[in-house]
Amino acid sequence: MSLLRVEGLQKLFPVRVGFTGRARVHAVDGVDLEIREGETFGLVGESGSGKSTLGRCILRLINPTAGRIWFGDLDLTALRGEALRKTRLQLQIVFQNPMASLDPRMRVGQTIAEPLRVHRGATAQEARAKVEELLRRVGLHPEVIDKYPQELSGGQCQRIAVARALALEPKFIVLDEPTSSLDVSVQAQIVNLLKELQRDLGLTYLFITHDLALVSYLADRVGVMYLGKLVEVGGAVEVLQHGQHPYTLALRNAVPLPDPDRERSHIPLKGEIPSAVTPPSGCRFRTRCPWAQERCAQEEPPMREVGPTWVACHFVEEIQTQIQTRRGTST
Amino acid sequence: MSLDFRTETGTAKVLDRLTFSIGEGEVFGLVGETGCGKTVTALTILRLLPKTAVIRTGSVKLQGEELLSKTDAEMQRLRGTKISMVFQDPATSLNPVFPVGEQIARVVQSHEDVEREEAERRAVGLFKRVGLPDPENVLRSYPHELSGGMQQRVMISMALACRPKLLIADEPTTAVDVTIQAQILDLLLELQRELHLSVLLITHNLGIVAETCQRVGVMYAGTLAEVAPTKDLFREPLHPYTQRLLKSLPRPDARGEPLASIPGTVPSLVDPPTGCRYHPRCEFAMASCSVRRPVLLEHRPSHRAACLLYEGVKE
Repeated sequence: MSLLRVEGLQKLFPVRVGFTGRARVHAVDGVDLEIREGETFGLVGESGSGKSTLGRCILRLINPTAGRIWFGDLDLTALRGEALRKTRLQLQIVFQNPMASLDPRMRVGQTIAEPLRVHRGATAQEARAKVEELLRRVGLHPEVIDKYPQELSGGQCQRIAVARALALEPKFIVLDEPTSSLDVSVQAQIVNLLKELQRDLGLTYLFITHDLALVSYLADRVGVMYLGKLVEVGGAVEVLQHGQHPYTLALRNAVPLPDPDRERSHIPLKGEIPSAVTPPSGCRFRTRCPWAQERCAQEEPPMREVGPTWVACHFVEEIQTQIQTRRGTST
Repeated sequence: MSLDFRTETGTAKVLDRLTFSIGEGEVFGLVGETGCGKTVTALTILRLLPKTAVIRTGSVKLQGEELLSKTDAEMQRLRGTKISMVFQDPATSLNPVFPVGEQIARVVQSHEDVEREEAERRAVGLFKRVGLPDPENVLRSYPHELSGGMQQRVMISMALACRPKLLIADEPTTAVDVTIQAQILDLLLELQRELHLSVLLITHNLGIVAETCQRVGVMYAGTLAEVAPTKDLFREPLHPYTQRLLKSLPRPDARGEPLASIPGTVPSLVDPPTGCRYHPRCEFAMASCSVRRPVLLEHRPSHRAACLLYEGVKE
């Protein structure tokens, strides 16, 4: 069952060009997406692909330019004032850098208690009991309650950010690169914690990351974004191991794996990600795609079901055949 | 190499009896988590340590020549021509107020007696070589006009401008995206083969090590835990820290199982654990591990590890 549905979401940011010119950054441009109850949906892409903007639009931390976001049968984009505040309690977020997302002048206890006091009207005593419970829940000793974030390690701070997100017992949490500022051994601790919490509390996650290995390990379904658009969606294993969109292939190919025996088949991507102010016409990936043809510049490819995944590419079948034959002749 | 940093809270023992060598034309990787001493090792080689650093004992030799006894002026001449470095964040390593062409020309002119024009011609050639589009134009660009990937290409061409023997690359791709990272790493390896460079590649990314390095050293809290040919390290890691580190990497085939993590946190270097610095977090720790410091010894062909488990020590 779907918990969250995103329809035609668009976010344009106005920017100045030169002294007088105005233009708009197409951060997210027409994204449709469904997240099912209890699953982890992984959203991958490089910087500037719009994945964080999408996450923030869902929480209405920024307002989308167009499109709808359905949370159950509530249209989040239509909510205002008190109704928005109430609904938002069920949607939380954990940011990338815990050192920046925790207030350095608030003690750990105050940070976690704040949502409880504001939304639940908890007394100091009630809040403290709940905070201690939450700290234990995220694997911290309750004695950190009187510490400041800067007295703690990055991993401990991220546990606190998770505890704060859990305080109001949300259904849905956006995890925006929650481990990318941590070392791998600490990342493992946080990832294990997140999975445990999901299992015990029935949480639904939108996991935003650029780390394909991480997403292939923990996500149920995955969406790949490029320059404001989703290019491929499907089951995590299907997308990350048998993905079909040329960008998914390139991304998979570019990620270095801790396996010295892997033969990297080189499909190096040409050039760099184009400007989101003036995105390419038609398919946005065409300027870097080794298979691009004329049609790609004229017509935007729609999302369609091709074998195990949904892909937005005109020529995905031809490309797959080409790759298969190339593989056939090389072995 | 053993080296301390004087800090407000006491003397931090930042490097402890670090020993390794890099062969001619070899890519040697140095991996480890934040604060383990990777970058300090690079700065020690270049003699760019801050004033608070005190070398207790040690030696750094380049082609048999001791670098620690060189004068500052001699070191200045060596940097760029014999050893050079590419830093993590090109945006902060390039000077924002000069065009990048001028910055390279200055590097060339400070080492060689050439005219400005010749130096710029050399820069254009280098830019072409590192795959920068429209090199004449890049020459007059300021760093902020270039993307992160292009800036790092400029840094690489600057580092190679005076044909060094050893290139130190300190997390050269952490600031760029994966598709650009792949381009930069491919470029580094291509240049390395072409110029027969030795490369010290510092990274926390075990994937990068697996794909680029011939040999690798694993650092933990200022010590070398293990040094091995890359394939051997991934196939049969000897040190318990390396074993855990490799197991903590998320892999698709491990779906559903919890990831291995390392209990506890990295120790303070002001007051590091006695004996083996990893022993408080080690699953195989024995009584002697807190007393005796393990030595980096060869336990398999060309595969060295610093762990009492392999020294025949029993409880």
